[in-house]
Amino acid sequence: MIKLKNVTKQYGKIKALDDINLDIKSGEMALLVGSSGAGKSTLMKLLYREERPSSGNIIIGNIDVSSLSDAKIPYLRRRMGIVFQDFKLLPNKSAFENVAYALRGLGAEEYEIQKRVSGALKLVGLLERAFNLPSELSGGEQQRVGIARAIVQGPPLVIADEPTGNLDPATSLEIFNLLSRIAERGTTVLVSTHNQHIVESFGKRTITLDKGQVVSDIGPTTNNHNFAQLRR
Amino acid sequence: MKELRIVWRTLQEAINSIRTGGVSNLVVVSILAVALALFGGVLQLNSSIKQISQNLDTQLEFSIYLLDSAGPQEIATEISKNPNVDKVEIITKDVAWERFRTKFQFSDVAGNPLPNTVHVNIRHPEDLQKVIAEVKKLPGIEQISYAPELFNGLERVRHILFSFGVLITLILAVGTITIVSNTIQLVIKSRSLEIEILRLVGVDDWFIRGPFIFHGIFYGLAASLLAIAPLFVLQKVVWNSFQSSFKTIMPVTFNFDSGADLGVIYIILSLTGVLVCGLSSYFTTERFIKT
Ligand SMILES: Nc1ncnc2c1ncn2[C@@H]1O[C@H](COP(=O)(O)OP(=O)(O)OP(=O)(O)O)[C@@H](O)[C@H]1O
Ligand SMILES: [Mg+2]
Repeated sequence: MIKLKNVTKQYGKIKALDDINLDIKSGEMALLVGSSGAGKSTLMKLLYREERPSSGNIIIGNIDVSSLSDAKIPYLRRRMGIVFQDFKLLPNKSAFENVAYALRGLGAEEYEIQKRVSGALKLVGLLERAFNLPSELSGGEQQRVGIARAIVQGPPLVIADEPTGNLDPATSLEIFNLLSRIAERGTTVLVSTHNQHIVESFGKRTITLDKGQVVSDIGPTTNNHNFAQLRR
Repeated sequence: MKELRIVWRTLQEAINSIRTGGVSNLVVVSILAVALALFGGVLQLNSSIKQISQNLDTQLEFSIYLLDSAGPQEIATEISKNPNVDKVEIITKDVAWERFRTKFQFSDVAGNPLPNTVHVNIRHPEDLQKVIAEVKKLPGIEQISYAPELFNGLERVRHILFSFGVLITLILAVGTITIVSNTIQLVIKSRSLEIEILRLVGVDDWFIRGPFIFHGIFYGLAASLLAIAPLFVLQKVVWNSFQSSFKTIMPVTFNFDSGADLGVIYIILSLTGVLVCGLSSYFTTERFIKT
């Protein structure tokens, strides 16, 4: 699903990413960890083509992201869902409208919007709160709206940069739980996090960055019972 | 169908965008309306003067004022021998005096200052100068009054007015572009989160920019409608009073249908408004909504 070959990203003299090679399979869930400034956000931005690599190749599905023209960016982004640390919800729109907003811009029919948005909100467990404003929702609930928006178009890939950075540990766990359920439905999920505790308890594939380089890439551990317990 | 839905939703978003503008919309539209009204006023004045001067240019009529020593009947007979002359009419100084007094409610004054006058109608406007040259040779002529003299003067005034108007319009256009882009820029800033989200979820560029461009076009439309109404009233009032007073002042008579091609002018006005506003918001979105 995601392939990076010798990807380097340079900001002036700073090498934010230094010769990265990665291969993330379809339907896989991978965690991206590393200290602050390690290059996690930079890597994410390269994936959704907010930035271009200084050198190297990035392939997502069958799209060559590194050589993608500006005009094709929407085409790429419709094939991925993006979740943000700061949720990026419109404060004056209900949960439902926040999820529906993009679909409207994409010209979907009204009944299809109803169907898809309800489906996404149901999946994140927020159907009853559909008509609440973001300010009437807790942080965790707001992030679930963000996730519903990311998956509403049924993308094969979801990327989330520190989706739990603003949430308490219990709520964070809940969000990770949700993301891993989404991965189980066949969606590739890439999540960056600072939360060491979650990384350990999940036993998912964990890619560690340091100073722009991949310093470890540990496959999913079989020792997964913590997480299994969590999910009941 | 899908395209239609997107256009419809773009319009809905445009309405949202206009709402975001709030009171500033009123300010912008009023300023634009003043600018457009000035522009339209220049066009209207230009067209009206052109109408008058064209009318003058195609006059088939001129007037000869005679010295009191000359006999109007002999001169009239002499002129009517010219094959280019269609009709000759004598207005004696007594008749002229009588008409003048009734028109201007003059009480009796001693003496009659008006001359004997001969109105000459020719067959073709292009023969005017030739006939006048012939007439000048006759004795007892004090003055010949004919329209093309006035025509040249009017054309000169019109050219000056028009050049001046174009200059003012260009200055106003620059001001207009600045005002519209600044306003649209503010609206874009206040909706930056929406724009960012739309970009990140892969909504196409023109759905994101479209509402702001429509917003600009709305300014142009609203301002031109606002400008056209007073222009139209002004034209009717001014033209009517002008026409009635003109007839009494001028030695020749005119038949004007209308003051100007108002329809065409108002279409030009609206198109200019829409185009200038639409384009300035187009370029503003290009600059401030980066992809
Ligand atoms: N737009 C930019 N211009 C210049 N330098 C940048 C830019 N974006 C990131 N960097 C630099 O690149 C390096 C990697 O930054 P990045 O944001 O990817 O780190 P991160 O792993 O996401 O950190 P954090 O955990 O704090 O979010 C840092 O040294 C940062 O200063
Ligand atoms: Mg970061």
